[in-house]
Amino acid sequence: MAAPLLRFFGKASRQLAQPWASCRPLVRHVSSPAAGFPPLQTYSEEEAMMRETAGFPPLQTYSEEEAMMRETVKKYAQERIAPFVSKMDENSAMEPEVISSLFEQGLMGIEISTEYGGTGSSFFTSILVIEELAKVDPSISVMCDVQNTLINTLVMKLGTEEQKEKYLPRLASDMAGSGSDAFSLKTTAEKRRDQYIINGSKMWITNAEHAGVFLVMANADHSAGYKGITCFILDRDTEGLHIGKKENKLGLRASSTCPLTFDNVKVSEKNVLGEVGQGYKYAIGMLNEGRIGIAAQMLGLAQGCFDHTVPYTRQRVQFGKRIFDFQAGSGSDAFSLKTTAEKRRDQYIINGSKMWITNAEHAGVFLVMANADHSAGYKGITCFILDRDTEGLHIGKKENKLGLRASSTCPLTFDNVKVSEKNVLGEVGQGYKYAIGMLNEGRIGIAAQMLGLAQGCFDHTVPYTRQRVQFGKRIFDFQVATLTTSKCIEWMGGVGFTKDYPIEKYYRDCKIGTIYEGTTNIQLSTIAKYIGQEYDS
Amino acid sequence: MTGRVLVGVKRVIDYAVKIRVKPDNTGVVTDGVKHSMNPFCEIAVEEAVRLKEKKLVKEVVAVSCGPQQAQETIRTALAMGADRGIHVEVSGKDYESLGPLQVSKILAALAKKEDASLVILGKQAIDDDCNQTGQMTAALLDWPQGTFASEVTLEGDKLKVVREIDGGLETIKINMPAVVTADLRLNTPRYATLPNIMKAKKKKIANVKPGDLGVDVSSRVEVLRVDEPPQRQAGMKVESVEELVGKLKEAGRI
Repeated sequence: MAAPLLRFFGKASRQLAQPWASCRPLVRHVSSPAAGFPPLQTYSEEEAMMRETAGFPPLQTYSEEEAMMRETVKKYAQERIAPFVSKMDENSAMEPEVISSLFEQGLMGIEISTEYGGTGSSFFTSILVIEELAKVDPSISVMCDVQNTLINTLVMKLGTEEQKEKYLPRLASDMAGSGSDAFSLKTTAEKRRDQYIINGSKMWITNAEHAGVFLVMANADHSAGYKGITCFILDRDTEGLHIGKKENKLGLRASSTCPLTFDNVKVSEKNVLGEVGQGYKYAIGMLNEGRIGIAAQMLGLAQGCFDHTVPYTRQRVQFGKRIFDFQAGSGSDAFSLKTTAEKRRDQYIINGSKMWITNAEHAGVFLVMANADHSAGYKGITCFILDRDTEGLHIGKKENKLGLRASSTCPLTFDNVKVSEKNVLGEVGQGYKYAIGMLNEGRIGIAAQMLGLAQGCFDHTVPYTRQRVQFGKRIFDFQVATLTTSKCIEWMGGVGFTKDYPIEKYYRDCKIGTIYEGTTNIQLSTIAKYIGQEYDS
Repeated sequence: MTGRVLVGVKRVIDYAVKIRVKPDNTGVVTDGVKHSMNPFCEIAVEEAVRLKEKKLVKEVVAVSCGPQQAQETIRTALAMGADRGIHVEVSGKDYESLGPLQVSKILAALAKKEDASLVILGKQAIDDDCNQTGQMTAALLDWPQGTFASEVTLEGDKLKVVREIDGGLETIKINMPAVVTADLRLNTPRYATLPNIMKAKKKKIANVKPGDLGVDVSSRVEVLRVDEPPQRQAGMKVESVEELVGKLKEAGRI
């Protein structure tokens, strides 16, 4: 019975593709989205067509309403959540006011259709919201994530009409939901006439403290192993359901994680969600969307942390320089002053050598930077146009490289190369400025190249099944978050290590990214398994 | 229940953006800069929507004058609860020179055309700080005005307006139809909720040109120069009270 799984996959892919589908009409009427800068991924019709043949859907092309939702959530999070973040972390407790405002804003029922009182929006919007919330507080983000991508999705996909009518309106308006892991086989559900009796316990239940409803996986048929696992909908006040003391955690402290115990909990067979014995499959399927949510959360977290760090580094002065300038300036001086250009009447004599000249093997003309006035340092650097066959210009053997192997990179040597002053490009002594300026544009090209390369690599990965991509994206986003938060603490210096700034909180919060909804280790072995299968056939 | 409220919403550079003057001193840089609804206009929209929620008015119509992007601002008003929008398309040179007088003429013409019984505007926009549009609109319509409102109460066909004046409050009662301009303390505007953003998508925005309303948008004002405020000079640290007093005396402050 792979049908629900397929449905999950189908849904994710359709909705992720949507922003692209709306891209072309968008080009015509959205010229300045809420974010201010026209997004780089908004193409003219012509550009869009050129790209379409390449077939990459840009995820960051927002429709007008997506851009507006993102803006609104950003503003809401800044004004209504940010003031409580540090207090909630300190007390390990969520502010009731924050929870109720999440419902008021329609952030807890994003994909629930309007007939059940939800927002009636898409999975993509859920992801945008999760990302924006994570920038301000990953704890709030995870609450929203679990509700939207796990609980609501399962009830919407699998619920009977009766279950939907009972639960969806409340999930959208005032009731948080909570799920449970699918994999413990120890919680049992024994059938007695039209009821099930649930016994056992569950650990690590996110949101349990505030949840009004739980989706509980319990084994209804022990002999069938994991194929006996069944999903039940349990109200919080069901007799025999106990919510334990919440864990004292390293990160995401405001979000509650509690154990649940089931002591002869009686539940009607009407409360079975989906089919008996399919619980494991449902849970595995729903986690696939959940993981994209976690990835969005990790990305938001990284951005939030970065946004707190950069202003500080631009402000903090050490050794007479802004910290920001130390970081930005390091390693930028790549210009050799050793190639000289000596002026003799209307000619320059160039001597020296240059390494790492891209395309040298096939180039017909070179733009050479040489220093025409050594006393002026880099202000003597001048740009000359040299034909390939100029006497004294030697093109060396090309480098044997790790990558871009088809492109040639050779050293050049200049042995008394005579070049007319007419061949000076621009002004004498301005070469450094030109080069820096040109590299600014050049870098955008390189960036575009790298993006294309990454996407190309990614596209090769897609056929390895969607599941693998989801794992992969999560792991990647987590790595971004880990690196960013860790680097941000370093950039901040001592204060980054203190609780006076929110940086350390982001650092703690992101650690969970390797753990929940499948640990990174397990995900890596799953990826390995899929790669293995790919090569088996 | 009286009829219709017309609310003016202006698209301005976002309040959080650092304003930069163009190198040729003809104005400020607007390209690639984040824009949003003028905060006082948000208060005006909120007030109109509250009147509608109290069932004191039938319909709230949001109006914005400007280029295509003005529709985003109208859409925000619709997401906050306005019923429909009117986009008065003004672009290019006309938009650059669009001032309070031109906008007032447009609003006055629309107020008549839409048979509005109340026009609510922000007291001023944070970009040009003119604080004239509400007053001019009232004058052109020959309607009463309640400016700098911090409280608005509908009493039959009359309007009680508490006005923020220097050092205190003034309460006035005016006849409807009227023009009201919103001050900071009138209310706290809501966030557009996600479900309302979805609904806003389905609401209609009509497109009109100033010419359709018989309004001439040519300006009588010529901007000669726009300058940045002077750079703040660096301060200095002093070691003691005596030194501080000495420095202040030196500077002729005491």
